[in-house]
Amino acid sequence: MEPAMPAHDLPALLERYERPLVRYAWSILGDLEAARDVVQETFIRLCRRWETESAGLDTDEHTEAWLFTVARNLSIDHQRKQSRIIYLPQTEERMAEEPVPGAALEQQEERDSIFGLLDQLTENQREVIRLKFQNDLSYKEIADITGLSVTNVGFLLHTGLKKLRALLEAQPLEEQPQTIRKSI
Amino acid sequence: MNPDDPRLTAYALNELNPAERAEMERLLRDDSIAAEEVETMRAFTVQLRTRLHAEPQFGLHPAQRAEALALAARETPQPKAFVGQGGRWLALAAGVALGVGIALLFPALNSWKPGRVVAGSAQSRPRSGEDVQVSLNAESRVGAEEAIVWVEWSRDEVPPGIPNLPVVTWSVGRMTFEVGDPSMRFDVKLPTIDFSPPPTAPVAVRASSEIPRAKARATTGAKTLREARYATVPAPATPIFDWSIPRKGEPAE
Repeated sequence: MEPAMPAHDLPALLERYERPLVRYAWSILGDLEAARDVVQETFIRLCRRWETESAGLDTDEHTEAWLFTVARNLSIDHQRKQSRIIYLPQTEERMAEEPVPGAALEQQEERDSIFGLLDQLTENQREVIRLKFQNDLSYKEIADITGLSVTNVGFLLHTGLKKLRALLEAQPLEEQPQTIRKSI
Repeated sequence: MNPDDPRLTAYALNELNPAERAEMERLLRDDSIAAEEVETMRAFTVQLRTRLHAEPQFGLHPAQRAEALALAARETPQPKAFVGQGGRWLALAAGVALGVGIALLFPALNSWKPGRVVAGSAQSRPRSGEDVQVSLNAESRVGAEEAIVWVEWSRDEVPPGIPNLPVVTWSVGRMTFEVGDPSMRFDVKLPTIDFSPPPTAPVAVRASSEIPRAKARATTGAKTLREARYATVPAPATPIFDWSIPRKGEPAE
């Protein structure tokens, strides 16, 4: 479990949430620079909230849910303004911070395969899977962020995971990510 | 039990409350197919979590982070000091003065049309671990102006430590000019780029800025790569300087 951080500690919040939020916004927008703008605006709004409200966001969980909710809403607003409502896959623009020769290249291909399959799910399924397994949020937290009911989050996760497994099973054996193939 | 029951996944992910969990465990004791489905889902999600966590993450540009931190420093609640009657009048007077100041300043700000300062290209070949420095001298201009300098790497291959995007932009410097200041100078030190081992495809490095008139100078160590004066020109911008490095096997400069 992450250690608690002092309230109103923006450097600590940036350290913990900046990158996950950019990745989340990027998954919605398909545009890294737009995602960065959205996340910067999210943190600016947090600062303004501190100025106007002394109550609320009193726990790490509340702050985390608030940050993801605002980043999501701003991303959707941005999409509307840009008239780009579809989720764009990141596959072709996905970055690698490490060189990719040899084993690293294999890992890269494996990631691409999983992300390529994720792109075949519905937007809702993709989003709840990312929030659950990439950001380790609970059904309740995902429901709070997305505005869905907890039951609906559970249903989307269940159907999304089943579909992902089916897509993996349908792949030729040599194209299946080895570590995941073992668990199907 | 229906293997398509979402409660199976919720159980595998430890999302059921204690009563639901106990009920599910009772059902699973008598249903080996459902129990196997739970184990398969649990193993699958462990691997999926590992894969998703391995996806590269990127943060804000340094200038974006600095802007948020500066705002936080201004807006983080401070203990309120006691303000007496005299303090109230003083605050009112300051507010009026600020309003008048903004009103006087506003036409100048409103009339300024930002342009993009651009420059030609310079050839160089970055070396391993080389620092690049860009200097910009802005010429006289009245009005509050913000200068943003950024650098892009475009390439077909990924040098170590550099994200694998066709074009990556780092906003590396940002400043606001003083009203009526005849000359401003600021230096921006870019992140170190490590080009070892040599890439197998061309890599272009470019820098651009948004200020109305400027003299730009790009250096590595004591060596000047490019120096030129620029005036506002319409977008699209051409880079202040471009580097291209040779394909692997071509002779180094």
